[in-house]
Amino acid sequence: MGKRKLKLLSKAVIFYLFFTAVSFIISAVILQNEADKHMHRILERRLEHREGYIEHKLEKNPRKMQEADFASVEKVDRIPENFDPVYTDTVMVNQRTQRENIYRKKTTYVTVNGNHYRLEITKEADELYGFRDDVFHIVLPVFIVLVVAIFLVNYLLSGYLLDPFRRILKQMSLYRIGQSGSLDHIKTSTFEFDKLKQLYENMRQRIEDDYYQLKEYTENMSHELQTPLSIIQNKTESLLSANDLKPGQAKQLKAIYEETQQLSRMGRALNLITQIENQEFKNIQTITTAPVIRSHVDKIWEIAEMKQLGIQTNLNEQHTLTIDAGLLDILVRNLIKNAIRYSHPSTIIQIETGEEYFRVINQGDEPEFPEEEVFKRFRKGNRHKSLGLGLAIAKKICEVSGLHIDYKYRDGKHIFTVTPLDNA
Amino acid sequence: MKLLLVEDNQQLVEDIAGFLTEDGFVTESAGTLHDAEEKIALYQYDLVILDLGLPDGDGLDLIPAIQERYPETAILILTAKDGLDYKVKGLDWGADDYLTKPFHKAELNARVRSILRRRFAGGHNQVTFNELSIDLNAREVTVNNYLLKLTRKEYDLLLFFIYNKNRLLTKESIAEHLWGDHIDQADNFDFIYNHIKNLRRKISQAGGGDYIRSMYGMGYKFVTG
Repeated sequence: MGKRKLKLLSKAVIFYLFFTAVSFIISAVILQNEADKHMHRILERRLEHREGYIEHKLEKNPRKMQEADFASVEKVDRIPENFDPVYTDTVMVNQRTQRENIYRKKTTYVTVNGNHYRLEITKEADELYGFRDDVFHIVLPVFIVLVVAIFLVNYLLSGYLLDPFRRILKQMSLYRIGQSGSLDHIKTSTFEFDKLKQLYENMRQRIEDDYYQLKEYTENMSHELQTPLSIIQNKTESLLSANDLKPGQAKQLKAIYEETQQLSRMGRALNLITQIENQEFKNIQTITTAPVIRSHVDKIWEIAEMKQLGIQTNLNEQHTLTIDAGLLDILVRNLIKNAIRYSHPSTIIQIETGEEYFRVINQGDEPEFPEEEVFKRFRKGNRHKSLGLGLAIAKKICEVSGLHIDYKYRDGKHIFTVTPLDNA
Repeated sequence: MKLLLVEDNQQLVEDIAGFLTEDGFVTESAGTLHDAEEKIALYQYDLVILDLGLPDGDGLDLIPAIQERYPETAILILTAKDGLDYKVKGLDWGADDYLTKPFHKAELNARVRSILRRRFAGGHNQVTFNELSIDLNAREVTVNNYLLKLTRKEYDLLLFFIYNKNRLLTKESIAEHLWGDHIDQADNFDFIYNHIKNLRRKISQAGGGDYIRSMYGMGYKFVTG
């Protein structure tokens, strides 16, 4: 498993939320700065106003200054050169309410009637500063409302906007080669989805074309090969019928004859696999297996006996498989033939069916390849001249019939088990 | 007996026709669907051997035409198409038998004989050769009127030989004839020897001649001369 995969919309929402949060923070800072400047301007104006009032009072009667004037006046000898008024915030106790408040303080120098004074004027700023906090109190709820809105829109969009996309995906996942998987019924006005649809259609068309070409080629190959093979086989048989053959000639003809047979069997077996893959076997019914297996054993015990093999059956009369009748025939035959081929002489082949399984067990040498490769095409025991297609065909039959076939080698026994897919 | 062979491959036509002529059949051939239609319209045949993949169409289409004109004409499909559906369809449409290429000539011969016997025997179901006499209905063999106790396989084997006298029957063709698809082609067919040995023993014990010869280790021949 790689990294956890996020849905496109969730991803978009995360990015969107992140950038919204950043822009909200930036705009809150700007707003706060602006509010500060604005308030300071207001406070400066008020402090200036008060400064004028104090100057006026100093002009009239310097001794009449009181605490209530919110100012401290100190007589100084001279004013520092190039002095600009200094503004600071300070916390003081309000005389009337006895509560701590924030005050804006202006420090400056004035000259009245030839006397120099240093002034510290204060002005209560709580109320105005409250306004600055209000900015945050407003921005936060707006941000929350926006987040909720984003989630809501996301939810609605994923339903409406992405619906065609989801349907296209579903159709693609259902697609099986050789079956119609057209997207025509999915309508979308979204450019990207329409493009996706078109691309998928083109790709599907290409795959189907290739597939049918290959299928036709395989079919033609295996069909058209059979007539020339018939001729070679018949001519060889005719030559072999002659009475005056030299032993060396007979040997060579025999080789030609045997290879021809091998070729033709290979063609037929591959063709059979193609037919199974193309699902050309559609006579699907629920078949009680016991009679089918018995009839196969009946036809094959003689061959088994010639190899000193016994066949023991333990069949459940209730066991059924839902499968094409012809395919069941091939499946049973191939499994039994395989068991006969790979059995030690003088052993017993066991064929069992239970409620939910069909099993063929035979004793033989350990396979020369990993267990899971036993169903591969052209995989076969080295000492055997077989095609190596019988089990590949059995596997293919199970695949198209909703069955599972399992192979194990335990305690010197080859065990093949066929079970329905849903309880495999 | 008159046969029509509908097959487009000239080599195969020569092979089969030569083979069947040797056996005393009158054999004509047609290389296309069109040719075959003409011949069927003009002459009556006892058996039509029909290839399905013809250059100008599907051989299956010929079956209704044959049956309409001469319902008693037997039909044997001989084709490279071994799809189960073709087989079922062919037999459904009224073909008597179905043989896929490549086939053994001996097998074709045995099938032809068996079809013709089923269709035209008319009670005459006895095949005799010298002291051997085979009752096809009862599936019994007598040698000088002495009834042989043959197994099913031995009986089939003898009949296969009698149908294909003086011809090499390869082990493969014998195995396929007796066991069909159940035979594992990869095995050696030495076990056939046991059946042949038993058959020869039973015939000679009843006073019959020894006609079966082994040929180059390839197969066996029923020699009459």
